Amino acid sequence: MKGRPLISKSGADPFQIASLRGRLDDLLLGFRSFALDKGVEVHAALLDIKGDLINVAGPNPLHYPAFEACVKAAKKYIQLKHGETIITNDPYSGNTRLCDLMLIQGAYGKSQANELRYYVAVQITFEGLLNKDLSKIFTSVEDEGYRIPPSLLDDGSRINSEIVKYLCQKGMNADQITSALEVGRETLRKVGHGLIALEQSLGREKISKNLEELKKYSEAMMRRALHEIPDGEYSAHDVLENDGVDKLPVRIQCQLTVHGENILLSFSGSTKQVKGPFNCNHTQTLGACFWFLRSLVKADIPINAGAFKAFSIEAPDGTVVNAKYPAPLLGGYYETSKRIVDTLCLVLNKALPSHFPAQNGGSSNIALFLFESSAGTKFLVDTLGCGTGASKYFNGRDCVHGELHNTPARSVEALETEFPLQVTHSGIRESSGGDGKLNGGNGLTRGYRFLEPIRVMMLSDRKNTKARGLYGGVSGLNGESMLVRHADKKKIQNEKWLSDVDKGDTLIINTPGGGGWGKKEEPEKE
Amino acid sequence: MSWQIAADIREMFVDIVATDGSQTIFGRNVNRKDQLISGFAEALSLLPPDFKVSEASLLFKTDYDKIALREHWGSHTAFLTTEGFENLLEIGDQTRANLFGLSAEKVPQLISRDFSFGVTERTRADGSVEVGLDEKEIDFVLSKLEIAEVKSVAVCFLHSNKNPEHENQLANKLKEKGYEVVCSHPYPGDERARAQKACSMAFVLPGEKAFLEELQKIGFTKTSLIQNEAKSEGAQKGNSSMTIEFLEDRICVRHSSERSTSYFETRISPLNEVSIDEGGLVHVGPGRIESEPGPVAFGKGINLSVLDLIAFSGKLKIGGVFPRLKVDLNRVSKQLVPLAKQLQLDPETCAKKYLVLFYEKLASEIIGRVGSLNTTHLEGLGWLALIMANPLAKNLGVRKLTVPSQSGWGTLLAALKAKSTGNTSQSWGSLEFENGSLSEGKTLDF
Repeated sequence: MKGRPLISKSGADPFQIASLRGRLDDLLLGFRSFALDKGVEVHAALLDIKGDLINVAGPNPLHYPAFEACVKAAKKYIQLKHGETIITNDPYSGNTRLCDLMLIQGAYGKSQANELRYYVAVQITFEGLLNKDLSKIFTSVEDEGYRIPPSLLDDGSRINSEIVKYLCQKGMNADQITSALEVGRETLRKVGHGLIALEQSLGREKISKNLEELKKYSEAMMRRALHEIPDGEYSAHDVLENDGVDKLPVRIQCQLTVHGENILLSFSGSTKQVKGPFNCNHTQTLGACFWFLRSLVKADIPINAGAFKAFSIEAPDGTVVNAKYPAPLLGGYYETSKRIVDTLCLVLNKALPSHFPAQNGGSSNIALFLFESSAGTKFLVDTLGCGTGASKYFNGRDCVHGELHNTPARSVEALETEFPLQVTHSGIRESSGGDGKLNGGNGLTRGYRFLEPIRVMMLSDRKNTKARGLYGGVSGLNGESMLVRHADKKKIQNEKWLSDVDKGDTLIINTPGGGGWGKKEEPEKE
Repeated sequence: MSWQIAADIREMFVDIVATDGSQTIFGRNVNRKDQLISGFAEALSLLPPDFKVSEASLLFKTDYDKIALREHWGSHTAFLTTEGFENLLEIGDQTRANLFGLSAEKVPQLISRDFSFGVTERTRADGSVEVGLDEKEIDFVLSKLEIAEVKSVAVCFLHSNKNPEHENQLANKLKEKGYEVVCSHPYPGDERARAQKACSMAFVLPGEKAFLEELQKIGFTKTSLIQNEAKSEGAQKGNSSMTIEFLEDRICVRHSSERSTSYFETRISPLNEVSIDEGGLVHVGPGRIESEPGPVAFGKGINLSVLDLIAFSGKLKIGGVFPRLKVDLNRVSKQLVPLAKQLQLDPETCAKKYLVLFYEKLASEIIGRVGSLNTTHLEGLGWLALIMANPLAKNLGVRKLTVPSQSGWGTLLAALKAKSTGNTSQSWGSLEFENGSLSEGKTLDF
């Protein structure tokens, strides 16, 4: 790209654009704060009438493409009326997971009665919506929970109780769901009003023009960063150890083609969709690629349709990176998405040697815990951070979610207060980061002692493979999960497993370390 | 009557108000973050020759804690926690500082791993004790602290907010040995939040004491700290009140509603840098110039700040109260002209547009932090109140605002007044603005 893509060159006022950007951010920030105050974690987005993204906020970029995909899918089937709300959780209608409830409303102009001007959408995460029948590793999306394709949640006033009943079939509390849906609807109305008020204060023509400028700006900034990559074709692959059902490695193959301004990431050659829950749908793959490429941009750009326009992805249908119904997806969200990032890291290291860090631990270390007692059922999805890869200038960081989702982990006190378990230790897993001129970050070690019998499903990867070091740096240590039986001190250690656990048993999870960078200099011998 | 002094000892300026009952003297001096006390001592030279420091009482506010935490200027501090959780501070909540970025940068901790020690004890989630604190264990911990040569200690045990027995038991032993100790149980939040708070407090505590000793070396024997915390007097029903302190290096908001009172420093401030990125988007912040290198207008830094643009627009009147500081508009102009040229604007218009954006962002932050703004009345204090209160009030949609006639020293005067009368009301003479215009025939255009 030659010359400076100055906003002012287009005739737009950069101050008005900056002001609009600030106001859009504030709308979403206010939106999320309102919901968080009421105890509901949300991702939220504003979209134009075509369903193109205007702005999005939330702690996990894997969710960002879901908004456009769900709004566009919903538009095909439903003519939204003033005040109505659409609901879907269907990953095969563009959503991320079954436990992310997407709510969509229209924002309607005041000058011409009930004219649809924008869409506002919120995605509420409810891990309790996942299927609590942990009797086998999921082999279908239907095993993971109940799917709702885009449907009307309400008639503009009352929530359809049949939808709530449907969602609560597997033990979710109806009051809890209803209350969260009410918060979602209320926040959507607030943001819709805010967006219309903003349009009225700026004028319809001006806001449309400036929104377009913001999209162009984000696209230009993304392209500027990607322009650093020399023209050519670069490919690499990485693997998941297995899908928890067939004991075969799952290959993620990626080729990056750069030709001038055209950036294409092709995943041809990746393994066909797998039986176990380690598939990604298109939304998750796009989200992982977006996170990686957006991370190359230093400026704080708005995330809108323009930012996504700067690159293309080719994910063949029916593969592990674009799975089709009824492939199960839960582990894809937590683990395969990370392996996509790892693969991109390897690819880009070929294009721009030394620019990228060694691989991160590359696992969410996801464990599902089901506590069933006379007092009721409790369900916990816990994830833990790893060590990150070292780079040319920095050691890796210890115990952190190094890519994609950035949600604070539950505190030890919160875990112990809410669930019948005691955390025996939680610390840095020393020397698990790969050695090098710069060392990979260390993983985490944590023990859970269960105070009641429970059922555990471990879906984490990187138990046999390691985060690779670069330029002579050593790989990080692989992860481990060990179940120590209280009765006979017997240890169960496996890659991905499912087990009944007795009262007093202890589960120890050691998370992987990051790869080292450069060959470690040996001290001179006397 | 002996002299009473109120001082605001900040990293860029020191403001003082002194009264002996018959006269009131106002003074300012430039300051540096690493020489807070010497800037204050210099400011005292503005007082008359008969001023006797030994007989004076001092009320003061200071940025010391903020600077010490930011710059990691603390003492050797140890962190004691439940055994098995020694890395609590480092692990934190496992998030990254930035959502995007391929390297998750390490956040430097106030207390390093080498000074974090585990203690055998365990309290359950319901507050009951599973493993008691062992006397021998305490002795062992004390020996480790002695070897580590720490001055202060932060203690955070799991579930101490449910049962503080073990923290108190250990703290008593540590205090007997002469350590400064901060326990976590009085603070809100989970173990991570409480540990961070206790560590911050323990980290700056010896420095705070040294700061007080420095004041005593100047000769003050009677000193007390002006608390920045919000007072809890409730606002009138259905309404709320807001007082904003506008200083060159800090904007603080005190907001009272029927339900709660909050006090906070805004992230948006006159020290925010103004810039344009390579895509042509203009920015106010998030970078700040701080006292080093300082504003361009004061002959120091090279990055333009909001304060420089206020100076450039002719609104910053410093000379009268601050004869030692010259505002150099030529330096500002040298930096502003190329920036304005990029934006195809004349410098005056460019400065004005940045300031409009600044007020918009400031208002937006305030509304975002206090929630819905249900106030009709805003009070502005501080040096920039006459300049900033009006445009900010317009952005906030506030119809009436008050700026005291001595707004530059408003907070300090209020502190002195409260001290002398025991009354916290701020009823000194004031100028009132309504619907954007000043009483007494003065108008502020912005």
